[in-house]
Amino acid sequence: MKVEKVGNEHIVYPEGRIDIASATEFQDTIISLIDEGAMRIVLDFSKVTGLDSSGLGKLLLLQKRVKEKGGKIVIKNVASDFVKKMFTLVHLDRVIEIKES
Amino acid sequence: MAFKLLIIENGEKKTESLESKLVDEGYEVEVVNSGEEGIEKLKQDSLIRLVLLDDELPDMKWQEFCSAADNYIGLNNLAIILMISSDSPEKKAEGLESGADDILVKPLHYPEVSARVNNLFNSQFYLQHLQDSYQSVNRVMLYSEQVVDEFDPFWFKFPSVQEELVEKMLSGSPGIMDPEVIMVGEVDSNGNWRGTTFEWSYSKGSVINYYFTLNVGTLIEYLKQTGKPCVYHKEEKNIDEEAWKSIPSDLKEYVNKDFKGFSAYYRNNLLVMMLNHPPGSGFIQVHNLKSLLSQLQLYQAIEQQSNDLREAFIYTARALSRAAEAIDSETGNHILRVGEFAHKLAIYFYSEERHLEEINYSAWMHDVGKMKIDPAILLKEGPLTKEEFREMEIHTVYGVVILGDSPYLETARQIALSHHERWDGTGYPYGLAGEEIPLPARLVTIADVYDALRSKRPYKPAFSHQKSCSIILEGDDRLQPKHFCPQALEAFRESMDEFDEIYERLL
Repeated sequence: MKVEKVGNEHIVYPEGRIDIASATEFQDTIISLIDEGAMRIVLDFSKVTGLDSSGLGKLLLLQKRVKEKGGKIVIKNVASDFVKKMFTLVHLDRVIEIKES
Repeated sequence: MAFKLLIIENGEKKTESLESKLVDEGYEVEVVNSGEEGIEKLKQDSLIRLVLLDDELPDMKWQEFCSAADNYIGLNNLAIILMISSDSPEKKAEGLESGADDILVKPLHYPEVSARVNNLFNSQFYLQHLQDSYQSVNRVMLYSEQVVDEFDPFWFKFPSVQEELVEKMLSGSPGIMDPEVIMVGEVDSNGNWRGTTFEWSYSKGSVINYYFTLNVGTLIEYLKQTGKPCVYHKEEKNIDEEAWKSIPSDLKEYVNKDFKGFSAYYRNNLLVMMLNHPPGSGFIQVHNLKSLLSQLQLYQAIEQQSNDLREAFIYTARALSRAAEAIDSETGNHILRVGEFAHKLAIYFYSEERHLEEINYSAWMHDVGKMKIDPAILLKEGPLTKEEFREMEIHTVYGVVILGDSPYLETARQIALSHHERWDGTGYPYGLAGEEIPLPARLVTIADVYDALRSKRPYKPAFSHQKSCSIILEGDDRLQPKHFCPQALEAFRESMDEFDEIYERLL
């Protein structure tokens, strides 16, 4: 998974579906960033095509972890309508900032 | 109520014998001596529908009277018979062209007057009848349009539509042809007829209705035997006395006036009756009955479908809730109890039955998200690690994902997502506080906590009703009153005695 560091931001570029098969890899990538001390993690969703409940669960778990360390997760460029709908349904914007592209 | 006749003389009293003869025939007659007085009468009394007009008025030309009368009669129809003094074809033609409906030549020949008055009154009667029916059909149609616009297949209720529909037939003002009472209801196999009566209340100026039960077995048998709608009026000719005999004698208690006539129509267990319609209006009554009954049956069929749909939906909701329950350690009727507790609390906040029902079945689904939680965590004996507890918390979000985006599950989604939030913001998944937490979720929080306290869990024994209530109201080492919505807590304080009964019943 591609990760870029721009200023104080770590930008992560997940691709395809974040589901029960790929969620662990996704989680591990971000946990290692947190462990390295990343405080502002930006998830670029422009190439994410799908998200299942495992993926959503991991997002929430990671958010709690980062928040505990005083950091923040931001999601941007959500391209998939399905993913957008899922975020709206569970009111994810209450805990994770979702930037309109 | 009957139509009246107005005689307008030319100032000299010479129609006294005419007036008394018409009164003798049963007409209500008024007499005035000038065009001006005639106009005044028309303004005051909308029941005047026929004028006998002298062609030599003291204060105006008869043509002026005709055009002035047009302005005051409004939507009602007024017939004018012009009484002329010279028997010339030109004068007759002029009269008919200038607003008169019929001509009489003086000196009057009474049998001719009587026949013409009678004919014109008859046509006035039917015209009015037609207008009333048209308006009632129009109101019913507008109402049907409104029903279609507001139609919700999930919450359609027939009784309220039935009432509105019959009211629309009667409302406006009581038409001169309207029956005194309309009765609508279903007949069971024993001939018991249950339904609603509707009548115009002159004192209230509106339609009033109340419920009735009556045995109409003999009438139904009669109607089935003849196979057609039935119309009966004592004052008409060629009536079937069998119809009168077939109706129950206590039916007359439903009318205030002398019981003289009725019409009845029966189809597919629905019976509609109109009592005390005016004589001679039966053919229109039957038409109205038929249209009323077919509309009612349509709405009844829609209600049946609506009920079937709602039942299927609720059945599925329950099946889904059970699926989540099956993997959890909670057993038995936990979901049903939480639904009923939430319903009890909701009574303090919602007045509409549909909202209460909605909260009840939505509360069942509060834990559906547990299906997505690793059973190793869900069924673990002993305390959860911090990580495990975080995973567990996400069952609230999974619940929303499982419930999807159906508009009928909006309340269920609110409950699934937020039933672990706390009023002071210390709950999960999002740490919402106060009014940010939807009210249905705040109610289910208390319902769920009460049930958990009453039940045995791996980490605690079952507590008594008293102990559970005092923990909720006063707190313990884990729970604080500030965790709960204060109004919901107040509702709990007032209704908690009933919680014990529900718990015992659904153990």
